[in-house]
Amino acid sequence: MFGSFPRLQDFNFEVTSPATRIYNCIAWAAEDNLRWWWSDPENICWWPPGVRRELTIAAFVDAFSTLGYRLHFDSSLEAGFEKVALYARSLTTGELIPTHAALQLGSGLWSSKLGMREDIMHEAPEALESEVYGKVVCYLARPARTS
Amino acid sequence: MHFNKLVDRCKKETEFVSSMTEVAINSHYQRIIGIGPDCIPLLLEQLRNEGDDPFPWFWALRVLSGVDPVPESDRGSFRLMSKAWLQWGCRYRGV
Repeated sequence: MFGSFPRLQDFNFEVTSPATRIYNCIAWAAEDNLRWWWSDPENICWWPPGVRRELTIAAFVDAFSTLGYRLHFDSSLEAGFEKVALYARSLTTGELIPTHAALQLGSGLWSSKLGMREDIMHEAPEALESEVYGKVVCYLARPARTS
Repeated sequence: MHFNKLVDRCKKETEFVSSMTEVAINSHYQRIIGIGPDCIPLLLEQLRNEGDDPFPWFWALRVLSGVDPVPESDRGSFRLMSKAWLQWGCRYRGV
């Protein structure tokens, strides 16, 4: 895992599930552990109806907006808010390609599904910044739901 | 390269990938598609062997067969998509 995510060595993290291909990171951040969410124009994966199927940050922000999320300014733990971090890799053209999403837990730690591998809990969104996922490009937040 | 080796390399190179697009353009995934329709039974056998944890061979199967038996409501549900393809496979060649 460190080979793909070298910055994980600088942060506390813990594997929290067995590996599975049944859901991906976007689904996990959207609290859906039964499907793959992706905006593939080929229409293989699930994507919220009405949201454009294109590989842009805007399309991913729109997808999370269907769940009540809005763009937010930081990753700090704030009472009354749930947060998601979106990651993207930069192409040589400068275009940003979405790669990953992480969900902030009530403890302030973050939870990520790593592609077709395990879920992990990690100390900070930056722990997964890498050649694979690129960097965090924005945060989203929504009012916490009362249980 | 042998089909099974392409499968292994494709899985290894995409293990941390969440992007269906990135999986589909992986060079080994593309080489599998490059084998042509002859590999449809091999991909169906793969899906069968992967059971409840199927790898997304769905794009390759659609490209190679020219059909898509997955109902719109099952998009992204890999277990249901796998089941739809395996049922299609039974009709296709008794796989």
